[in-house]
Amino acid sequence: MKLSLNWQQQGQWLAALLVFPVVWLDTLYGVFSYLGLEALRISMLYRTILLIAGILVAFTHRGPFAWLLKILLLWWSLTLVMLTYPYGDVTFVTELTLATRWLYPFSVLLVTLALLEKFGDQSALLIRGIAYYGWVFGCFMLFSFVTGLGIQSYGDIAFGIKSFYVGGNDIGLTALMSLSMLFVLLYQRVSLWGLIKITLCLIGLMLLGTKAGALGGIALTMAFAGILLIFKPAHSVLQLSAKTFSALVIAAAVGIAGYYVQQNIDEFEYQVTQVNQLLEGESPRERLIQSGADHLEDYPDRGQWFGAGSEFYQGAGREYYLTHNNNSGYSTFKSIEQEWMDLRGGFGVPFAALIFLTHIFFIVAAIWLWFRRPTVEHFGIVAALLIYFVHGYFAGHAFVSGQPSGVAGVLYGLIVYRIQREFMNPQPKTINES
Amino acid sequence: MSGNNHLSVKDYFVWLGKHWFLAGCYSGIGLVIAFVYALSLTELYQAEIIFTIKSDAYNQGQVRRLDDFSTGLSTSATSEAVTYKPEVRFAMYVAGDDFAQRASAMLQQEFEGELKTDHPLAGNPAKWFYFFKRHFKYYRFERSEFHAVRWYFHTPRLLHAQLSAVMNLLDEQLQSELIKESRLQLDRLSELQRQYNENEALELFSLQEQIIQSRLALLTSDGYSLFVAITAIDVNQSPVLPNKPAVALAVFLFWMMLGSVVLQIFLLRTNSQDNQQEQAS
Repeated sequence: MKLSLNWQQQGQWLAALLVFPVVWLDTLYGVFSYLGLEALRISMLYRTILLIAGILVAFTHRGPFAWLLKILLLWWSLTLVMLTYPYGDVTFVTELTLATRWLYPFSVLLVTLALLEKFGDQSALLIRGIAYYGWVFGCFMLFSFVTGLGIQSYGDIAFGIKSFYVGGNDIGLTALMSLSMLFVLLYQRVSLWGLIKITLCLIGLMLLGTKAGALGGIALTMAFAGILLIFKPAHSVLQLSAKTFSALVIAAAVGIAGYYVQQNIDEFEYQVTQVNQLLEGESPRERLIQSGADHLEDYPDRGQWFGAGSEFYQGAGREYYLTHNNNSGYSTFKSIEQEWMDLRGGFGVPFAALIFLTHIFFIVAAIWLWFRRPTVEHFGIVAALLIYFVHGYFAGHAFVSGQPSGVAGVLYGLIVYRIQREFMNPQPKTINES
Repeated sequence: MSGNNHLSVKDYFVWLGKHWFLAGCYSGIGLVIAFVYALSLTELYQAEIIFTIKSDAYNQGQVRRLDDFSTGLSTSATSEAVTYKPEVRFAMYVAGDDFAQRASAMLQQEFEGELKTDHPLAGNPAKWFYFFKRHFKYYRFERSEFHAVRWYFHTPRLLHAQLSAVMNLLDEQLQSELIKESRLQLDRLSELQRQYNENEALELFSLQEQIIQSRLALLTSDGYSLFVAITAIDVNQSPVLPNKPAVALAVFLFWMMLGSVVLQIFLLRTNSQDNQQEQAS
């Protein structure tokens, strides 16, 4: 058996490691938590390694994105120093974990970019890996639905299971981004297996019972069913029938899901109430945002520039628990679950603006790439990133959360690589460069 | 060594091997700054009290408490109370700006004389207000209906007196509101007595008046408090803040981060100069 890998295989292995293990690590962590072993934070270990790899890339490479991560790190550590004055109420580990969560997507971006630049184009593999997340997630959700093992999303008051996944919102968002890639793969090659994977992912999203999961899933499905019908070229009768069949199956699946919801509307009362509130223009995090804003007023001197670190989340939690059940005693740490407020309160306006503008920059770049090279793949990437951004803006759990940020980081890397290759550096790099 | 203009981790180690003394001096200075700074921060001490509120505090309207109970029982899908429960109303008042304004003014008036003249809070009502907002921490516990207050200050000697003064002020505030409310009800009743002269109605009014009068007598009696202390005021004799190791680490982290970025800029420059020389030769 040959143990050494050649250059191309090395690249493939590293790219695969970037996307394929994620879902299994999350599941494993969930299983451990279910069994009461949440101390075994196996997925956190993986993400920490990626984060350190990204920081290493930032300190060894040239280019604007390496500088971005360094500037963020530098500004954050300055923020931390400012927070210590005058009362010294910082808890180092909490502050560090909080900050690294925001830096994680850019770290993954740098790792992806370095990988692609070194080993050549691995985008097909990366997209397959992102798509892989969705259907494995669906399998576990289905398993939990059938066997009853796993965690419930909202407890007894409403429908929804989380299977073995700890953060329902985060996982749902990742599955949505993954669903987009599954559709891209289906478009590229219509197959029964592809349809099954999509169905699994959709079932998972529906079982999760979150608003974003259901609405996003339906929107993506409709968009891609239309694209499949209109744009997919069919040269033979077989292809035509495959295409029509796929579109029909997708429409039927949405219909069945709708029927199921209608039949079990009582169980969905919680979601229906919340969706109605959303339609009336109420933010899903209204009370939390208000708590955060109220608490920010207690920092007249430094709130704008440097935020208040973990002290802000503690204070916002105290404010929040004035009206809500406080079962956590004196530790009232509570995220606002809305990215702008979280960033602004915890780290101040400059850091928040920089993070937001960077995410917006990559999404604009993705849209630009899609206009210049209008392929379904680029549309899929744009759709996934838009869902990521909108979810983060309205309901949090995006920029700050490891699962979707990992996917977003890989997609950012792909976009930057493609733009560099096709528009900035006309000669495509060969794989064996050195 | 790196043809694609990138550095490698090895470059850093090579540089560190050559200039270990400089690197050591730099980190040493960072450590000294960090520790001197962490040790120089003023210390904060903590006092805590846990209490419940007597139900008299809630008896504002005639049927207010009854109301709160009946609407509080699972009325909607989410089983949240329709009106705010009395506990919540109290919590909103304690944590609100109005009380912070009064309490900080009171603290400044009573305790500023005890502080040194160069104390950062001295002579500045706004600073007192924000200090109070940040260091008067109120917690409401849903199930036990306990309320907890934590108060922090620089001098442990004053903590006990300060917290009990704040609690007294809170008690006074709530009582004065209740007394006002009772007087208003009495006025209303006397108005009603003038308007109606049926015997049955007048009987009812006088019964009502007796109830309110007895409550008013209770509220205005000396030494009456709306609170039941679960624990006495408990003062920590050792400082709870600053978190010195964390402060020192934070400063040191920034110092080293700055150093690494500068080092990278330096290494990248020498690297590209080397490359140019290689190309030239």
